[in-house]
Amino acid sequence: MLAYKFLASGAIAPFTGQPWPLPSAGAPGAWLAAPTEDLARRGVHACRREDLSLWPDEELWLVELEGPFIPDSCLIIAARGRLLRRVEAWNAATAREYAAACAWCARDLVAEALESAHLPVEAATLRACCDLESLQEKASAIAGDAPPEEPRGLAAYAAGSAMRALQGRFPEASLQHAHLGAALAASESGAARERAWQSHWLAVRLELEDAAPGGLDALGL
Amino acid sequence: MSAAIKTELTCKELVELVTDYLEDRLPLPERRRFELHLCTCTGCRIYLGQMRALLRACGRLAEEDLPAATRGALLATFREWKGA
Repeated sequence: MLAYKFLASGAIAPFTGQPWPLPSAGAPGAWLAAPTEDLARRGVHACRREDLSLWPDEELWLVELEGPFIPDSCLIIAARGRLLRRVEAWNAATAREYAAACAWCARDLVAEALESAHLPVEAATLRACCDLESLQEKASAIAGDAPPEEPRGLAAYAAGSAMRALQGRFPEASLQHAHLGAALAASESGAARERAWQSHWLAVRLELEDAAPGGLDALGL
Repeated sequence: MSAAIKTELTCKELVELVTDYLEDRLPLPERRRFELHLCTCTGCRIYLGQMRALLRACGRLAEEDLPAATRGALLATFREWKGA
């Protein structure tokens, strides 16, 4: 089956430091196989489109996996995998776009919460922001010292997401956005909803195929 | 961090668990939480990289790599500490 895998710069596995064999001359990279006796722990990890926002890193690759597979709620674990091609659309520029998209989505959620709490001036102030610098500044001012569970305090998440986006720290920008979702819903389901939004954003912006069902032929590989 | 996210690891918890992670002793769910945290925390990724580098460096050290003066100073410190 096909799936996606985020890797650190140079096609390095982010946790183990294992370098993945690169594709060359149009051929896939060599297979990396996991020891079969402890597949759950040492298996090859990869993402479905809906998992992408949980595992962000510098490079995104299309990978081919072979079973046996172990089901998991937030990734795919396989006995072996190999790199097919890099998703070139995921780069420093789209990572910045992604971080900004998370910050603006956080802004919209906070503005809605402020309106619901009868704070229209604060909501309008946030909606009037047209760059990340002003969003960070205005949202910080609205949050002030308010506790994070109060409507004004929620603005701190938008400020935090904007600040991380300005710093180019896309994983943290997306995390602030997800935390805002959890705070709004007062449960982890809120974070899951925002993570789903982020994964959808990535899949659309990067024009990712739903890799699993189509197989290699569907992608012309 | 949002108080509504109970299952998410904090940076402090990650620091407490790092030795178990590096020695592959974390139960699978804990290991997953650990790695999910790493994905969205630049500081903790740097910290883990530093710990790995430290282990690699220490793993290469042999007793004879220690300069005689440093060895003497360390032994004196340990004797003093034990005698205290």
